[in-house]
Amino acid sequence: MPKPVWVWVMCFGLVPALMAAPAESLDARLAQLERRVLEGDNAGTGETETEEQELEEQELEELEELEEGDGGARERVFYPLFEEPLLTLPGNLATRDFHLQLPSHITFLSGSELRLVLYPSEEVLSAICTYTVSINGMELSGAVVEPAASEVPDRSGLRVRFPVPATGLQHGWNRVTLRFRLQHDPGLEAGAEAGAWLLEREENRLRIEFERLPLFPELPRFPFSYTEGLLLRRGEREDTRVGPHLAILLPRDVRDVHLRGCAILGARLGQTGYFKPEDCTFANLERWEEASQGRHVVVVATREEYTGLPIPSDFAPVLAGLAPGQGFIGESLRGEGREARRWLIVSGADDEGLEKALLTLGSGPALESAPPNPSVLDSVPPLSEETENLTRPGPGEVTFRRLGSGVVSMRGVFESEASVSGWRLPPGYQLGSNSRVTLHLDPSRSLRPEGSWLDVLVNGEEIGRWKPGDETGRLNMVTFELPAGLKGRDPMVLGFRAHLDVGPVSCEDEVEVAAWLNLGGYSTLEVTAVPVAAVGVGAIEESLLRDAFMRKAAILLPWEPSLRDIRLLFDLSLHLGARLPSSPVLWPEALRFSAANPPVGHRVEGRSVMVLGPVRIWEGAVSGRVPVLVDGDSEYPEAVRIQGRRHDLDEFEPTVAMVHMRPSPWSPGAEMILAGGWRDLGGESLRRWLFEPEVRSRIHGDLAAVDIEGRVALYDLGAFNEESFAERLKRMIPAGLSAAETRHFLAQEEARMEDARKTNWMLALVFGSLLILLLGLRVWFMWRRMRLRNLREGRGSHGEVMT
Amino acid sequence: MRRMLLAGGLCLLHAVLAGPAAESGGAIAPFRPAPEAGSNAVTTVYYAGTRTPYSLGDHLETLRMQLLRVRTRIEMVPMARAKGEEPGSSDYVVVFCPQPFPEIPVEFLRALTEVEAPVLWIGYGMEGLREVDSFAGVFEASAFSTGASDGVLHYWGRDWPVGLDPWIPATILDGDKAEVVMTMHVPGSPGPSHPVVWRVGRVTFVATVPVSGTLSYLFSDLLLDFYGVEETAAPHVFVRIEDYHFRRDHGHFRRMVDYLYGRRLPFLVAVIPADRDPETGEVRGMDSNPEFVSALRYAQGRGGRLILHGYVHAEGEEPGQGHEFWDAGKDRPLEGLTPGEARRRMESGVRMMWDQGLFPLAWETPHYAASRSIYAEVGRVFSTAVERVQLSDATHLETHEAAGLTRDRHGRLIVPENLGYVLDAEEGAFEGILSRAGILMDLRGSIGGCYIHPYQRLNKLAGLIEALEEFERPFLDLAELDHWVELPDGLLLVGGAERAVTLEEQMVEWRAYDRSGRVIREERDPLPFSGVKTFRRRGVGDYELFRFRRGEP
Repeated sequence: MPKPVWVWVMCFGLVPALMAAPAESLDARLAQLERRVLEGDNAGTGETETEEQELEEQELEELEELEEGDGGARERVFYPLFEEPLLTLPGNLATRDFHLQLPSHITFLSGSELRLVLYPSEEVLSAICTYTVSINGMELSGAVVEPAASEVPDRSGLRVRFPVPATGLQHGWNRVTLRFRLQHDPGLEAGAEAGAWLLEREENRLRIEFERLPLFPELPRFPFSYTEGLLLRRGEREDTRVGPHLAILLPRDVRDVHLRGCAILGARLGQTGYFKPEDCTFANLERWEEASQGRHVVVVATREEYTGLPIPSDFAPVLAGLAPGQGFIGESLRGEGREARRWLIVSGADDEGLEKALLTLGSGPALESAPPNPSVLDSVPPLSEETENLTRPGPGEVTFRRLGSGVVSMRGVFESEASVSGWRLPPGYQLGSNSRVTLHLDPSRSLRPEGSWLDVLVNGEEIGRWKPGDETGRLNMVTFELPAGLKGRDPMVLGFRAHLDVGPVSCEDEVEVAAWLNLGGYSTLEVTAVPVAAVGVGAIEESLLRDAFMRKAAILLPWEPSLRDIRLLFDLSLHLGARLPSSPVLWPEALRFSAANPPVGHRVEGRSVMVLGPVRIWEGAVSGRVPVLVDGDSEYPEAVRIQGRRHDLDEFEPTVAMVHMRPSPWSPGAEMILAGGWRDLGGESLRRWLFEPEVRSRIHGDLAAVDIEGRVALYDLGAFNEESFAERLKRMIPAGLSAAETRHFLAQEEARMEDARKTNWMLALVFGSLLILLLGLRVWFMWRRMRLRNLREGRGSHGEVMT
Repeated sequence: MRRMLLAGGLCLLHAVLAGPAAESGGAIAPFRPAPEAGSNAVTTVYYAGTRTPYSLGDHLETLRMQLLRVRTRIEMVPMARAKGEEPGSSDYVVVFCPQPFPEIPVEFLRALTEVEAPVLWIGYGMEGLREVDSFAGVFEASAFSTGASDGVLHYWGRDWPVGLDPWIPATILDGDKAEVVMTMHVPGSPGPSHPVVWRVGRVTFVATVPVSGTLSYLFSDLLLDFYGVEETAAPHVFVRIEDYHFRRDHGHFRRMVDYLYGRRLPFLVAVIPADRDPETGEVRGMDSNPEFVSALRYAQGRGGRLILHGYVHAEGEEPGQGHEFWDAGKDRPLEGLTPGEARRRMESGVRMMWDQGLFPLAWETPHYAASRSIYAEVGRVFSTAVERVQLSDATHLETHEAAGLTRDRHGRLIVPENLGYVLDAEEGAFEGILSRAGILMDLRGSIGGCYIHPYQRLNKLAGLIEALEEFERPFLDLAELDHWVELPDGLLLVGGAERAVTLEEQMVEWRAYDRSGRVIREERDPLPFSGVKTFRRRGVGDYELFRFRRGEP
């Protein structure tokens, strides 16, 4: 097969030119580029700024031409291939996949293009023959090699544009594959420095030419039909982003059913993986006109609560005719063309009906089988046995073939990756003992044992390595134990990273014929799964995601929640929903509480409960059924009781959010997590605990506190504690100090403690030695006295009678 | 824009001439109107041949279907027997001469001038009328024909680009006695327009054999004048989602359904209900694929009218890829396929759909290819077919694309697919459809049917629908017509359909369903019944299903 022209251009043109560049210059360039991007100072050099301006101007001109020539129907979007500002790829890479998610409501047009700018290090330049690019398995051709963007050698790179045919792109996930073809110098030993490729996010982009399809109601695609417009904004810079994409409208007086609606909506929207809290705004129904401007809208309200809101003419009679207990879901469109927006009306004759509608919205299968739009719902959607099975771990033994992967193939010199997913171990479960994966290996006979291996990973964690010769039996099988206790995830991914070495190869060799490793479709996963036991306040996900449909999660808010409180509930649900992307049903519970109105039993029974509220009302949530170690003092509003002792709030850092784990008073075996600030829900401090993995990873125990600066105080009620929690709180999160000052203070404290420990040790040593000496003397004197007595009485030194 | 204005103008003209479309005489009435002589009128066709030269198709069957777009009874008489016939006893007389130099008895020609019924002369042999007093000196027609591939026909005040083959040259000698209805002009030629259809008294002459293409559509429209039809329905259009089976992308199919339902447009879905396992060869019914069934229910509840499209629609290949009832390689009926086996497949397909609450209203023959014996079996199970009809057992390559609703020789109501399908191409994917629709949508009572495969992207469907909507014609809802589907153990009635069934000690269970397949009411007869019983709709819901069970009550 003849090589594409550009390959020769690259091999004999640009690459040799780059190879001729001095090594210091290349290193300097890479260092400079890395430094510049990592520092976020793109305007650090005059050349960079000019280049970016030129790029923007060029794109602007192209866009203007586009709009003039096509009446504005044709649009263009730039998709970065990866999220990191700078990506470093190993120089010995054979293949690398990038995955891009594209929306379904657009039509791809001709004229799309993939732009790649790769900066190779000197070592890479000596090894690379060429590279090819494919999209969804279709190899791209007709590439154009661009001239270097700058005369400055440090800004040189391999700049290539590939035309992308409209048929090469697809809705949903797309895979862009870079395949590098390397030569192997006989003098270069395996493990020698391979160099690296550097890629900048802003330079490596897929330009997509498209038209929007007209919007039409399509409830079964919820929530994606409401969120996928965000995918078109992925390439936008932060400073050009417009406001929220979706508005959720609620009545002024929210009840439990509205809260549950927000929890279900949040969880379902979170499943998309790209919907962020800032993409959504909340408003009261009275403000519908302002809040809905340019946004898709979801309204959650019973029939009587629709006051002043225009209802589509074909919905009004249906809504009016609802019988008690009936729910309603209707989707309509407002606006024309690009201004068209979706309106989803979730309603019911009463709270019972509204809840049916919300549960339908929370279930993909229910939306698919619901009556035509607008839908009147008579009952809570049933769950089939098949759907119910999805909450449980997959079969104990499953082949790759059954997982839909077939043969897993890795090819090329040197590094390539592959993965197998579809293996089900929901977040509420973890691996038990005796879990393993048995691989049926089919390696090329040309592989050199000393330079070839296969790393096996589970969810990114390496669990073992195979080298040629390790396999056993006629079937070339090799088994790896899976780590017991590994927590379930959605999705579970079994990863493979191969390093294939077939010895010296040149650019003329068909190296992929020799360098390959296949894993047979009958490779088997044997898994034992056990439920996760939540340990400590850091394990909120394990606690609330015991059920993959979130039916065992309940979130409680104060009796009269503000929109800010509801926002927190929504964000938490969004966060949890993102952990369950493949769950077809998400039905979390959410309700209000106060001392006078404790949670309704059946809504919290059998669930892990998260109580969000200021510490002073925590007691109201449990009504004394479980001792709570932190609570308000009814006589002193500005005081709090911690472990039974009253403390003024002034003693503590005001931004602290407290987290307390107790057994659920409503269900044996379930947990309750109480979280909140002194006077409110904990604000940003609580958010840091909830949503920042780094902060949460530092929190454990039964009782913990975190402040806005990320300082934490931990307390384990089951362990011996020298101090009370209040003392520890004051020590670990002293009021009025910054995090740095606290660290300094704690370091001093630690140093003092260390000194005290040393002194104690010396004293113990001295006095201990003295004591041992005294005891020794005492024993010696006793022995001596006994010996003398025996001698006096005519016996031996040990008391025997002498004859 | 011009097309819309023209369409609007013609629509107005039709409305003035025909008045409002009458729905009172049953749902079919507007599409298959009664002739001026009444719905019991008899049309006698005297034919000198059954096909045009070099053709394997049965064009007499084509003519029958063209004539049956009005409610008339057809009697076919070979010209050899015409000597002893009395044409005057018919309400309408048609002379069909598809080949040159037909042998027509002189007595017949003379008798023709005396009949009071309207006469339609199609094709060759008009030169013989020179000797007949009534026509002598009025026109002159050639005994031979030629062809004009790029002619323009002028008819109803509009030019229609059409290829005319065969074209029998004729000249009008006495313009006072002959009324020219349709003329042809060849672009670029300096000469005058030539008459193609003209009327002399009660006799209408057609100087061509209009059995296919645009000419066939115009001829179908002309027939309305021949039969003196005054009321016709507005032209309708329909879109069929084709070859929907197990292995399709059901999510994408739902999106197509949502798009159509969002625009409140009824549509058709051609369902292949079973699938042959590629590895084991085992045939699996739709009950083994809940997602497929669920998607069909979804479509049925949202304006999708289901059609049974074969059973597996393949002999070993991917569903939808192969001929099920015809040997396409040898172009002959499939060896070993008995009518009984074909019927067993049809019944099995219907039964498995009924069991899932899905109601096929009509039949579509895979690749429009089947022998007459298979069609006869189809006609015993389904009252309606949405398709083009294969014209003979000699080849599957010649089919009839009707311009409107008609019936075939087996009594099936034919809802014509005549616009073609959406191409799997980025550019011009439905140009052919729009080109034909541009003709059909300007003709009275016509139906333009096209189809799109469910693998096509949504923008294709959206583009097609938007383009079709520009014609400003309603979309045909198949459920508004009358249909029955009969099995040995059940009968489905839709619209105003009725059907006589012979029962043998069988219990009758009756269920009424709405269009989404939900049971509205059900009843069971207390005693078994034997004998012939005529079942009629009870007027509950949209679909009524009678199941016949043997045994004690």
